[in-house]
Amino acid sequence: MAAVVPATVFVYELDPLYIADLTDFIAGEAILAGQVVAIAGTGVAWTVHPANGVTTAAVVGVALHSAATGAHVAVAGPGTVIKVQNGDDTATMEAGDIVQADVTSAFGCVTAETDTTEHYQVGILLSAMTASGQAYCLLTPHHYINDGA
Amino acid sequence: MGNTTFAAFDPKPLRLGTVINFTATSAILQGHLVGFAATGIAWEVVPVTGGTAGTGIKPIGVALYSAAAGAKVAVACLGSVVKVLNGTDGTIDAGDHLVGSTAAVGMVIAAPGTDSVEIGIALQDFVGSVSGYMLITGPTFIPTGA
Repeated sequence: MAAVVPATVFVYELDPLYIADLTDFIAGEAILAGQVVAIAGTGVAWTVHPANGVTTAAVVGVALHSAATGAHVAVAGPGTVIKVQNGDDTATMEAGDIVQADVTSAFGCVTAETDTTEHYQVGILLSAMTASGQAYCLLTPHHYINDGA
Repeated sequence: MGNTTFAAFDPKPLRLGTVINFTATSAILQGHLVGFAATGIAWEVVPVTGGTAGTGIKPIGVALYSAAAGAKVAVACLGSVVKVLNGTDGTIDAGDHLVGSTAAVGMVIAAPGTDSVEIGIALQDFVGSVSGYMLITGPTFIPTGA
């Protein structure tokens, strides 16, 4: 199991089926079209980064185009139906799986949601996702803090 | 506390958020809470039973009309305000987080204190086996860490 390389995998057409919410943010670092993006844990107004679930916090959606650091980036938010990228080159997922921001080096990707650690939900898959592949996802961003019970 | 018997009803949406066109894997009745089967099939939904475990059926929305197995069905999803049916003859309070009933197919119950996949929040009291309005906010996975 290895993390995919964002610069290699984020080269597909996003093909959004429905954009429910569109917000103009500033890229806090270089962003690739299709990356799941989030506000930094330190919180900078209207600024997003590729989500990594570690230094980034609340997921806000998926970047609709690539953007250099400091540039504007349009982000499709909750309720949107759009493709997201698997952050793992071996694990597969199926329709109905709830996914979270990947915490490996595959920033801006998703992995299957876990119940063991604090995490940031991205949405629910609407079709199967192959290893290193993409699948349509209904975006339902959500933050979960594990109580450790 | 008994289970409610489901009969198709108009979910009377006050607002439609995202609406997704799915295929019904099995027969679906208007007003059913629907979701992906535990072994998910792309773009296909069934009436929800369960949803109180992270690995069970994941609810995604409410069927806007009835559909036979294999037919298309429009499902009101995130952001929609629609009626759902109380899966018990007990009371759901306004503000309760809701999940799919484990016993009553296509209906909701208040979220338990264990792992669950929440689908929305009750906007009114459901006193007994009646329908009431829900804001669809999920699905959101609420694990307890156990």
